[in-house]
Amino acid sequence: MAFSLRLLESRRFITLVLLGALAWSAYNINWSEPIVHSGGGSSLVTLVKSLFTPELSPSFLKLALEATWVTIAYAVAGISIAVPIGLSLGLVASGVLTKPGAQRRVVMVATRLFLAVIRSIHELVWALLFVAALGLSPMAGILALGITYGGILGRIYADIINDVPDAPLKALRSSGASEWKVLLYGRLPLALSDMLSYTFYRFECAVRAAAVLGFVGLGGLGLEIQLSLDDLFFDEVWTLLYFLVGIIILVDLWSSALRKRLVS
Amino acid sequence: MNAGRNGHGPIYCLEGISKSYPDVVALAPLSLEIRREERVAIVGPSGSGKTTLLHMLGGVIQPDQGRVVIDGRNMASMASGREKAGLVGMIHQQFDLVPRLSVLHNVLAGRLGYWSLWRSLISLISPQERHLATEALRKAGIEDKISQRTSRLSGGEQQRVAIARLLVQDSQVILADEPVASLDPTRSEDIVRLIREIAEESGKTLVASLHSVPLVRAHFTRVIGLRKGTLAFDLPVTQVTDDILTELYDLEGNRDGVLSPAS
Repeated sequence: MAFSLRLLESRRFITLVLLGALAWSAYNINWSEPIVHSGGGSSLVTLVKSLFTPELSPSFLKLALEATWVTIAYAVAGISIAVPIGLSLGLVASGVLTKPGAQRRVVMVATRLFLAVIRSIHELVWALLFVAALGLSPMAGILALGITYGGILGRIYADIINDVPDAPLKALRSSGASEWKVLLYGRLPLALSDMLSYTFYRFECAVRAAAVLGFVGLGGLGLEIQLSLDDLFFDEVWTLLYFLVGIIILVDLWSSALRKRLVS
Repeated sequence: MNAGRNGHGPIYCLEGISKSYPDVVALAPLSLEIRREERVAIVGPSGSGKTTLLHMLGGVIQPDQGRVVIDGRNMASMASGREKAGLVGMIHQQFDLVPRLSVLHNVLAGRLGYWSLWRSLISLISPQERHLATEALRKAGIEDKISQRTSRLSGGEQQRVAIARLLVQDSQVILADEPVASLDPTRSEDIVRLIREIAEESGKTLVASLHSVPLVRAHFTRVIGLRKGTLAFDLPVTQVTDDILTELYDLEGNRDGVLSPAS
């Protein structure tokens, strides 16, 4: 099992698969038709023009602000679910707390597979599933984000926890520390800044994903963008997109400020 | 020389221990005793088995054959944790501290063998047995750095933190693997003197691998020479002549040039 996983992750194998996919898609394109839709030119011009004339009326700004707030709330709630999922499953998947042996390998591979399964389903698909089950409730969006991102964080946390330098851990063990204590005093402090910066990067992604979740009807920036697009109000679309870019920049500033404080 | 703190007889009894790795014999069968409160220097060219021997003395690796008996008990059958923490402590060439943690927490990590998991967790928020750490850092001469982040300290200061960690662990034996290899000569002298004083004051046994002949002569009582994993000599420090040392390094065509001239 470990061997087959390594094969799947080997560079040559991945390169082959990607090249194959590229060749296959090139083969399947209908080259006799024009690739660019000829009638799209005029709407493209409108779209670009409205880039410089976003809708700035107070009432629309208020609406955009509210939608932004909803999107941020989705992202924060989703990440708040994803981090505990990622931490607990990532710890199990890293195998650092269990003794070496066949049992550990089974647990590690099973957990990694589970993480792979939950993250391989896109948050939009999870959202559709949860909307079907729970109705158009915010919980559907939050769970969709939390589960997908939990799968992603768990996988990365496991790798980071595994990859910390070994020497300080050996020193802790030689002073009589158990693996749990080695985790608390060695692995986690050594892994913390990497884990934190990756979590922030994922939070950024979660903001974008939360915006897109709006298209399913869950509210927030995505829903407003869709409504404005339906009416061909491109200036409104741009206003909403500017708000989205604004959140991403803010998250980025926040994360680099926090990292700077942690590292220095 | 013979009376220890807690027991009688030698602190270490090595009974034909050996260790091989896939392509090298790290240590051929070796038997010897180390008495309590001895200060033993292990010398020899790179790859002669010094680190392997120290790691087996520390119970970090187990011998392929033979056994290490410490304080009358078989090292291999000893559960780690409290019991082992009270017997052996180790410092390494690269200090092996956790750079992100404060000096205080790195020192208190020496107590992990004695603490419950719960207490270890609480200590990260509200440091436990802080007085032990303060006292150890005072002895190590860097009391003022207690709340600094360890990554900000110089190499010599980090080695002092590692020594303070060993002090709070309060083991009967101190093992030091090339403790000064990455320090300049003046700092090396200070650090080895400090380790020696700590061992002497509290009647601990000291076993260290070293490259510097002057430091060996100044601070140790017994010298064990290793060559290609076998015992070349085992002598009181007063009987170790320059000729013996030159032979130990030169016969192997030793090219790393780390043997310092005798003073």
